[in-house]
Amino acid sequence: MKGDTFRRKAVNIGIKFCDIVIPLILAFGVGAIFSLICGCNPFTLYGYIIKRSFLSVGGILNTLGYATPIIITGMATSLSLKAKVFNMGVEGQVFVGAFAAALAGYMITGLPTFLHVTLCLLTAAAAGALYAAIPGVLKARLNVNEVVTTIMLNSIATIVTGFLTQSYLGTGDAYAHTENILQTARLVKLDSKYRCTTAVFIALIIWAFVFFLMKKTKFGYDINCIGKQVEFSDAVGMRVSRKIIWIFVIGGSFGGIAGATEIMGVNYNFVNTFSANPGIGWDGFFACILAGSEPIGVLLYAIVFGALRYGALAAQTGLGVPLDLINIVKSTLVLFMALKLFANHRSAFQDLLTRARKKNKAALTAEGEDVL
Amino acid sequence: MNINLILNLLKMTVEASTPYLLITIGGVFVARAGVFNISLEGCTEFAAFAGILFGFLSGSILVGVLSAFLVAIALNIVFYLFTVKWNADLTVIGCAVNLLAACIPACLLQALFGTRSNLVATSLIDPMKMKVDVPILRSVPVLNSIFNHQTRITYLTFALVIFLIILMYRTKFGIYVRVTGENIGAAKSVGVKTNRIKLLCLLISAVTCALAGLNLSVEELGIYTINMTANRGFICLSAINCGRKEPHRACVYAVIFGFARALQTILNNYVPVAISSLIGILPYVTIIVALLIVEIPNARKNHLRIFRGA
Repeated sequence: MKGDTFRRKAVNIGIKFCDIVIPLILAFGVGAIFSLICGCNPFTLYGYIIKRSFLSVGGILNTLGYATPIIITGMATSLSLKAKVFNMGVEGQVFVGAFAAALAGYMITGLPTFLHVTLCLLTAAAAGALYAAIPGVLKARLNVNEVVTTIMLNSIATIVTGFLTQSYLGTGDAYAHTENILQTARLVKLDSKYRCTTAVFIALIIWAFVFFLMKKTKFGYDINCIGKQVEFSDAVGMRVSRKIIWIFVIGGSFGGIAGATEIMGVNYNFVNTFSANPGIGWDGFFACILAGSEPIGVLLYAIVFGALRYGALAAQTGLGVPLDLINIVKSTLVLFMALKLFANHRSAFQDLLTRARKKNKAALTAEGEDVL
Repeated sequence: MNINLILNLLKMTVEASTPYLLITIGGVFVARAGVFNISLEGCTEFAAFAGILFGFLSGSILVGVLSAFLVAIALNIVFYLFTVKWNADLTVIGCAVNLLAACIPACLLQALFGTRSNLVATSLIDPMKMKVDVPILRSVPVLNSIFNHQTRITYLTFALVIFLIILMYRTKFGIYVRVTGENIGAAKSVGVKTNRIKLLCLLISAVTCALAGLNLSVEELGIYTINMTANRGFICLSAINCGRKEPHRACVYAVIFGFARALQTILNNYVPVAISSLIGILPYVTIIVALLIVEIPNARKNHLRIFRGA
């Protein structure tokens, strides 16, 4: 019996392993094809990315810097994906939060550093939460499809923030941006040369908070139930629509904070293109999908995405490879990872296995008969 | 408001509605067969790109058009295999396809032509010549200025919309599609090959998306620019939602959204430059308002204790 459970566990782990490794190979294979089209040896490219993003202290700090907002947006998405609510509006909430933080950063004066930073983060969180409440209420009260509304709201957020920076709050420079935020509102860089700021600790706190929320509280349990069976959760008396609004609001506030950390740590002013190609909200969304909205997986994938982003930027200047190439790898990875070829199609593989085992057994018993 | 302006607005509405109508009418079939396909956006983008790219490389519009169809069909077959055949999550695969559509054209443009923003093929395609002059319309005063001198695909769209509505409500295939979406178990039990129905619906949608992409890039401008689709796929998705997955209603919403887009273009000429970028939110706001108006009457039904998931 013991051997049987052990074998089952081993098979389970093997299946999970195959489901991660085979999509990785396929995705990097597709990336290699495009890299050849771009006229660059794929091994040079991947080696360069790994070397630049992991094999030096500065590289790691930069990687973490790029990963910070992705961790936050990833966790924001994971709450909603756990409940099978597709909140694709994190990108818009990032924009709104970043904009709010940029405004609070230079409009409020005369505060000590700690208070000012906290205030900026809170403003961003509130702005993001309010913006996310719109699709949340629409979904919960009117059952409007959230994919459509969130994506429409993303476009609205981009256009409106861009418009405001350009026409009313801009400084009149050639490219539209708001005024720089004050020194008191800035997050400190761990090393002045690299991208990583104290925001990485904010990200870790948020990560731990969501982890606790999802695994240890009643709310997390409810979310899980809603994701598995909406009708059942509703029938046993969970307030599903209220929970859905909360999911959106919490996710939105995190999205806002993610935008704020970018402004307060890296950019210092709001430019409409600060989150582009494909945007930190989307990166978080994809990290979350790849991890199956499990917190530890989100953390790992966010760091990988941060490394890819930094490595791709480095490769663009160093090797002349377009930045989009790494996005191709990313999206093919999502494509193949979503397949869960082995986990979903276990029965087919198991048939093969049992058939082989039966053959073995038959052979064994045949041998036994011979002995008898 | 003078009469010319209104006529111009209506003419632009017809122009702007063409891709909306095409994507919507194809998407309705997919939605009706029970597949929530958000890769309409990506499919259109790929078709628009392929039409210009292969047309430009080969020097023949026909090759471009054919390759746009092929790319769209291949993409939807991949989508079918991944989601219907191998049970991957629809929304996730749709998202991945959309992201691919955002980065593959950019990457290829950078690799082949050294710019990552656009590909100008006006040397091959003259957008002015793409407009057709219909002799019958010339003598009808109002209709002439609205419907004449549109592109070929626009006229094709009207025919296609009528044909597909008939296909949905008056043929056996249409019944199969509707049964598949409403109750897949029942459909299977009476021997409908549901997978094949879903595949056919996806192929219809591939063809209409390819037409929409061709209309955007090849016919209207002769230029491909990055992110040419500009959320049209999602707008059509909301048109389908607003129309409760019924083709004729969804098409009405598609035309309404097309009107919003045309209004935005016209208004751009009349407002100060500072505000003109804000007008861009008009189509999106229209959609959210439309979704609200459609869903509020249903809200009471949803409040009967059981929250209905999407």
